[in-house]
Amino acid sequence: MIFMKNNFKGKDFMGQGKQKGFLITVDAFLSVTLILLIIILSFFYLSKVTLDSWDKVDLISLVFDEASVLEKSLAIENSILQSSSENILDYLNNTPSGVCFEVTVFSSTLVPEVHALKNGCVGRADDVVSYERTVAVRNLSSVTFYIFRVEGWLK
Amino acid sequence: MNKKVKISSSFKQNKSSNKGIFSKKGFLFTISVIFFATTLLLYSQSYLSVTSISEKNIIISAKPFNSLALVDDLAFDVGRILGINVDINSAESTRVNLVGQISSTPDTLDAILGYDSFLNNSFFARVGGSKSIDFSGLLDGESELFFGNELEADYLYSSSIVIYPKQNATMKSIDLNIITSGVHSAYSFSPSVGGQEIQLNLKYYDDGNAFVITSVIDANSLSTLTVTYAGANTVISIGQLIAGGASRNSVIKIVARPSQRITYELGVDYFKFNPYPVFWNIVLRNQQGGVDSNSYLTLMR
Repeated sequence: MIFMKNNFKGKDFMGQGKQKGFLITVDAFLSVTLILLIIILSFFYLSKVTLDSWDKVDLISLVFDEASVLEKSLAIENSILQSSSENILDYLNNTPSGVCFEVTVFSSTLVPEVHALKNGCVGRADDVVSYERTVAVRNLSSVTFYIFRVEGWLK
Repeated sequence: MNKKVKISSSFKQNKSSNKGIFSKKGFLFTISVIFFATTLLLYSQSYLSVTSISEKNIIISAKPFNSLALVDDLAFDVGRILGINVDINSAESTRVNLVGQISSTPDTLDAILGYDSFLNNSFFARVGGSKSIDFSGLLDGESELFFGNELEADYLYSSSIVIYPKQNATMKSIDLNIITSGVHSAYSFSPSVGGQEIQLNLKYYDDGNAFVITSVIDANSLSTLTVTYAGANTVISIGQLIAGGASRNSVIKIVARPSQRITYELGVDYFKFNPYPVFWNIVLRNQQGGVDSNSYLTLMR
């Protein structure tokens, strides 16, 4: 647009005044800069748009379900009684391949007792869903309480 | 070549004569482009704003999961503390499976108080929000498990368990396995017959012996199995009994000997009824993230 103006007005500023030409060039420069700025700002805003909330909701649901399954199948309880993460890993390693899980069991004084990380999950994503549940472990003489945390993220 | 010169000349003439028109067109073009670019900017801004709000709402809509998951977690734990496991199958009839223990150890009241303290001092502080739980319904020495409005199971700690219909639930058959310690010296089974007939399949195991009872009994009158041990008896009553403060039909009651552990595996078929929700007599109050709920600890919905 600006170049068109320059072309068609070229005769004037070549003949009559360099000052006018300078002003037109500055005008053109400012216009182009303004439009570029607007376009860059627009792309900046568009780049900030995220449409992953349903993924997040799915991940929340997966983490909650996994925690519930681990507790109700007694995998957490057996892991505590055996001081081993094998029971938990049996379940974690059979979850969908696109999701990573990490489980940590804490005593009531928040000392970590058992830890399990799904095979093939090394680095963590930025978006991690964390959920904690309680476990009551009953034996012949007492009931002991633990907290376990399930963290999940998409690969 | 001539043609080219002519065109060029003609173009120059046009240029000169249309200078004002081009100037105006250029101005309009500039305004249009700026207008278009500004529209693009405003559109991208508003798109970002709308999608942000939409995404936020989707995330917020998942918040009630927290409350439901908390209820589910605590309800399961209470079952573990009391040593009661529930399962329901509904097809042509409604089958309620109740597996549990009647035992004096671990001390149930101590365990409930310990759990209350653990939740208030350790767990609730970690999960955020404002939460409180009312265990008073279980601290009177008895826990109540409700199956909708139709059925109730009351566990009197270290003593007995009774399952009774509150409205219209009627038994069709009973499968009951009892496993306990000790050696019984004798047992007597006095069935009542006629009326609302139900099939009873009972297997009784202890350290000394085992026996099986298969019989058709009446759900509307009392049938009793008494197993005799030195000093005390184990008694299983089925049919018409006082339960929940009233005389009712289709009741099952298992009474253990003092300081003895009984493991029961009970499966009862009822004429079809709606057993949901299945919940404990415990109320959880949860205020978090715009959710304010007061609910019974529900095992099944």
